[in-house]
Amino acid sequence: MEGTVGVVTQFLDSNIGLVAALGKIALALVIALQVAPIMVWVERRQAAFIQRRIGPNRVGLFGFKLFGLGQPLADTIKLLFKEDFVPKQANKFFYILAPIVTAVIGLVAIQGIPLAKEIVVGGHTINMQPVNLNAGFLYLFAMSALGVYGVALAGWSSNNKYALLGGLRASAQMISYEIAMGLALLPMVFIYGTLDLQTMIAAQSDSLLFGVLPNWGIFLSPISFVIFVITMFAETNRLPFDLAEGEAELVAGFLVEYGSMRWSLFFLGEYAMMFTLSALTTCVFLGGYEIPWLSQTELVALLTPIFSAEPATWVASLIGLTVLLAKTAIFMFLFVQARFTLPRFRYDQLMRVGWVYLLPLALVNVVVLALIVGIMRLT
Amino acid sequence: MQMDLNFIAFVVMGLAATILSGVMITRRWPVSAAMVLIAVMTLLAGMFGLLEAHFAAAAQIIVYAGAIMVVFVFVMMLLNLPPEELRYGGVTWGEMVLISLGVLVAIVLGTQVGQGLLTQGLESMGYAPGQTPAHAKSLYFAADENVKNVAATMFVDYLWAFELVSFLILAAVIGSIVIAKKRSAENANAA
Repeated sequence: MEGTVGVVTQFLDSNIGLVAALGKIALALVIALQVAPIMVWVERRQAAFIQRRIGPNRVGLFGFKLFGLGQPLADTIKLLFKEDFVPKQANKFFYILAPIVTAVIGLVAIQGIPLAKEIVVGGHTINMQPVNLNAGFLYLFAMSALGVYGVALAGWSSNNKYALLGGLRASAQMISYEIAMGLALLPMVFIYGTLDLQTMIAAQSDSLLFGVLPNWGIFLSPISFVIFVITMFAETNRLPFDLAEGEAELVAGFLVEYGSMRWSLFFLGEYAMMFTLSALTTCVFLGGYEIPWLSQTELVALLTPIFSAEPATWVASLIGLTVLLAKTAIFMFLFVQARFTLPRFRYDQLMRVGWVYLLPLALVNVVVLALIVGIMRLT
Repeated sequence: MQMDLNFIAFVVMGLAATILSGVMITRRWPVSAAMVLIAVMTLLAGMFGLLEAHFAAAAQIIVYAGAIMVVFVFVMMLLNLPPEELRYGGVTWGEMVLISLGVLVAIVLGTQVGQGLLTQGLESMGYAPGQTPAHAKSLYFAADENVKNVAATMFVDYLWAFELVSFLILAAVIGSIVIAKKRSAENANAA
C-alpha cells in the first residue's frame, strides 16, 4: 500500500503539467455540461414568472417536489427515447456533424475562461485557466468564429429550403456581429495593456474614484460594455436577435429538421456558448473571479492563518470560482429576461444595427479610448 | 526533438493535415472539400500553437477558418451545384504534370536536401549555424510574450511592408465594391 501510494505520488509529481491540464479541462467540461440542464430549468421558470404563471414545478427527485428541478432530467430522458431520424436525401454526414460541431465548440470555448487564480498542490503552482495561450481571449474569439459552421452546416444539410435560408442568415448575423464584438474589446486591451484574462482580472482589484467604485472594466469603459453585451446576444442567436431560430418566422430556421438528442445537442452548444461569453464579460468588465476591493493574494494571505498555506489557496480558488459563477449568473439571468421582454428584430433591422450603428460606434469608441489612454500614458 | 507529448501531437497533426489535404482534392461535393479544408486549417493552427506562435494560431482560425472560409462555404451552399455539373472530364495530362511537380517539391522540401537549400543564405543574415528563422535573432520582449513580439516586429522592423499591405487590402475592398455596384447599376438600367 505504501509503495503504491509512493509510486502514484511520484508519477503525479513528475507529470504534474499533464495531470493538472487534464484536471482543469475536466472541471471546465463539468461546468459546461451542467449549464444546459440548469439553464433549461431557469429559462422555463423565469419565463413563467415573467408571464405571470408558475412554470414546471411538479417533477422533483425522490418524492420531493423541489420547485421542479427534476424537469431537465425528465426532459433529457424523454429526448433520449424519441425517434432518431435522418431526413431522406439529406447529406447524412453533415447532418450528423452539425450538432456535434456546435456542442463541441461550446465545450472547447469554455476552456479559455480562468476559473480561479491558482492553486498550490504539493509545491507546484497550478494556474487555474485550462487553456492559457499567449494570445489570451483571442482563443475565445477563434472558437466563436468556428461556431458559425455548426449553424451553416445544419441549415444546408437538412435538404430543406427554410433550413438553408435560416442557417445562412444566422451565419451572416454571427460573422457581422463578431466584428463589433472584437472592436468592443479592443479598448479594454488598451487600458489593461494585455490580452491575458488573468492579468486583466488582477488589474481590476484596485479601486477607482477614491475608493467608491472597484476598478472594473464596466466603469472604465461603459460603452464597450454595452456594445459587447449587445453583440453577445447576437452571437448566440438569442432574442432579440434570434430570427434564425425564431418560431414564427422560419419555422425554427436551421433547426427545423432536427429532433430528439440532436436538437438538444444544439442547445447544449448554445447554452455553453452563452455561458462562455457571459464569463468572458465578467472577466473583462466585472472583475472575474475576484471579490471587489479584495485581490486574490490578499485573500490567500487572510486565509493562511486559518488553514495552512496550501489549503488556503484551494479555499481561495473555491471562493473565486463561486464569485465567477455568481457574476456569470447575472448575465445568464439577463439573457432570459431579454428573451421574454423584447420583440424580435427583423433581419434587415438586425443587419443594420450590426453594420450601421454598432460598428461605427465601436470604431469611435476605439479611437476615443486610444487617445485617452495614450494621453494618460504620456503624462 | 525529444519524444514528448508536444512532438507526438505535432507529428499526428502534421500527418492528419497532409492526409486531409489529399482527401480534400478528391471530394465530389464542393461543400465537403470546403469543410475538409477548414479541418486542415484548424490543424495548421494547432501546429502553429505547438511551435509557440500563439498569435498566428489564433489569427489563422479567426481570419482564415472563421471568416474567409465562411464566405467560401456561403457561396457553395447557395449555389448548391451537384457533382454532375462540375466535372468536365477525366484527369488531363496537364493535371498529371502539375501533381507530379507538387509531389517532387514536397519530397525535396521535406528532406534534408531541401532544408539545406533553404537555409543556405541564413548565415550571412546573422543566424547562428543550425538556427532557422523560427528562432528570432533578437526579440523586443521576453521569449514567451508572443503577441508583443509580433506586434513590435511588425510595427518597428516591417512598418513599411505593413502599411503597403494595408493599401493593397484597401484597393481590393474598393475594387469589390465597384464590381458589385456596377452589376446592380447595369441590372437597374436593363430593368
